[in-house]
Amino acid sequence: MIKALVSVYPDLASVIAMNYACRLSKMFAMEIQPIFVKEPEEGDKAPAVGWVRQTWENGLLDVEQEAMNKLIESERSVYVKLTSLQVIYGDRDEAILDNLLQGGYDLFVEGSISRFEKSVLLQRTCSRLYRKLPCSVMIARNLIDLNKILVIIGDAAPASTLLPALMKLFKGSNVRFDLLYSKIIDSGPLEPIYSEPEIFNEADEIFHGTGWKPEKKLALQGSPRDLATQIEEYSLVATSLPSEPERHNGLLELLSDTPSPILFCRQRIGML
Amino acid sequence: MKILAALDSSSQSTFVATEVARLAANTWADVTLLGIEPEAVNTDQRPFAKGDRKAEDHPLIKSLRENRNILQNYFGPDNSPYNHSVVTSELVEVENGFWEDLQVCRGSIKQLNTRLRTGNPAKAVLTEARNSQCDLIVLGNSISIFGGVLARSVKKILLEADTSVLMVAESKNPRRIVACLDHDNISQPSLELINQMVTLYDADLEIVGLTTQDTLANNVDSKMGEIIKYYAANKIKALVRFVEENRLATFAAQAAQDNLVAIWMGKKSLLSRIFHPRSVEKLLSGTESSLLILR
Repeated sequence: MIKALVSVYPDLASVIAMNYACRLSKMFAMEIQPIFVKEPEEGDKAPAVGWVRQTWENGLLDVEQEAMNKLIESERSVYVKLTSLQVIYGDRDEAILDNLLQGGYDLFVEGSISRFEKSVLLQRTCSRLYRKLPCSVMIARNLIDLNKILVIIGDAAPASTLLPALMKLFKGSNVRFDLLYSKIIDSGPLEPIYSEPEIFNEADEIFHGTGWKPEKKLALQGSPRDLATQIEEYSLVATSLPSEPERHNGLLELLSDTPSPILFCRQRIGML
Repeated sequence: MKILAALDSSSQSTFVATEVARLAANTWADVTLLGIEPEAVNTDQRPFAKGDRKAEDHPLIKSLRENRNILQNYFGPDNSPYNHSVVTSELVEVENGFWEDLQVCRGSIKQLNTRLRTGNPAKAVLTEARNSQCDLIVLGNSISIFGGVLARSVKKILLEADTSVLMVAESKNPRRIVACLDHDNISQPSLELINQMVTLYDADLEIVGLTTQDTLANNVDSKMGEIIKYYAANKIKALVRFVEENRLATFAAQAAQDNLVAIWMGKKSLLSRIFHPRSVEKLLSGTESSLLILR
C-alpha cells in the first residue's frame, strides 16, 4: 500500500490537494495522512518552554485546526481511509521533511493554484523541501479526473529512475499513459521530431514483461507555451524533479503553463 | 428560465437568434425576441414609425419575423415547445348534465414573444428586461461595435442591467469559459448559466479568483472550493487560477481573445469598479469573442 502525506492549510489549494489525493486512493491502495503545519507568524514568540509553551502553541492552533478538521471530515464522508489530522507548530518545510523521512512515505501531495502573474513552480522546486524530498511529490492544481497520464522523459528526466518510480505508485491501477520526449526551444513552431529518440528504446526495455505499455509515444519540439497547450488534455503530467532547477528551465516553464496536476517521480530513499 | 434577445436589422441578428435557439433547446426557456433600433450610425437609417405597422417590408419587422422563424425552425415542426398548433378535444360540462366536446387550441409549453420597442436601444432593452423579469439578456456584438468602438447603448446594458447579459460574437466558438470571481455571493442560476455555456460550446471552464497581494477575499476561498466541487460532481472540468486585482483587466483582455470571459458582477463586486465603462471597452476592443456578465 502506498503511504501518502498530504499537506493541508485553510485554503483552496488544500481543498484541491485533499480531494485529489482521495480520488487517487480510489485508483490504487493508498493510506492518506493529512498534515497541518502552523508556521509562527511575525511577532509570535514562544513565552517559555515545556508545558507552558505547549499550551500556548495549542491555543494558536485551535482555530485553524477546526477548519482543517472540517475539510478532512467532508472528504472522509466519501473516502473512509483518511487518518486523523497531524498538527505541528513550526517551520512548514522542515516539519514536512522530517515526517516524510521518518514516516517512510511514498508520496507527498500538496496543492498549488496556477497564477497569471508568476509561476510558483520554480520557487517551489528550488525550496529546501523539494531538493531534499525522499519520495515522489504530487502538485495538485485542479480537480481533474485521472483518465490518462503524460510521462515526459528526456535528458533531465531519465527513464531509468522515472519509470520504475511511476510503476510503483500506480501498480495495479490499469492507468493509461503516453510517453513524450520533448525538445524545448525558446521560440519557433511546434513540430514533431522525426527520428525516434533512443530513450524510447530504453523505456521499452524497462516496461518489458511488466504489463505496462504506452498508448502513444510522442516526440515534439516547441516552445514551452505551445507544448503546454498541446498537452493540456492530459489529466496528470509525470516527470522527474529537476536536480538543479535554473531560472530559465524549459521543462518547468512548460509545466507552469499546463493546468494539469504534476507528479515529480522519485524513488523512495531512506534517512538522509 | 427567461431569455430576452435584443435584435436589430443587422445580419448578425440571425446568428444571435440561432444562439438563442441553441440555448433555449438546452434550457427550454421562455424567449422574448425584442426588435430594437440600432444606434444612429448611418444618417440614411430609417427609424420605425407608426405608419410602418402594416408595412412588412420595414427592415426591422422583416428581420424580426425571420428571426422568429429561425428560432421556431430550429426545433423542427414536432418538437418545438413554442408551437401553438396542438389542437385537442376536451369535453366541457356547460350545465349540469349538458356537455360540449370543444376543440381546444392549447397554448405552447413555453412562451415565445416577439416585441418591438422604438427609441433609445439601451433604454428599450433595460425596460423590457425589467418588465419581462428575464434571467438573461442576449445581444450580438455587431450592434455593439461600430468601427471598433463599443456602442454607448451596449455598455449601458452590460453595466446597468439587473440580470445576466451575454454578448455573443459570431467569429468562433470559445475554447474555454473563463469565469472571474471576487465575491462569495454567487447565485445558483448564474452557476447553471455557466453550465449551459460549457455545454453549448463544448468548452472547458476556468474559474478565476481575484487576489489582493496573493490573498483571496474573505470566504471566496471556500466558495471557489464549493464551486469546483459542484462542477466536478456535474462532470464538468473546472480549472482554477488566481489573478491579482490590478492585473485583471489585462488578463481578461488577453483571455477574451480565444475564450468567453464571464464576469460575476454583483452590486458589491470589485469587478464593477474594475470594469468601469472604459475598461469594458478595452476588454472588447481587439477581441471578437463573446462576453458574459453574471448577476
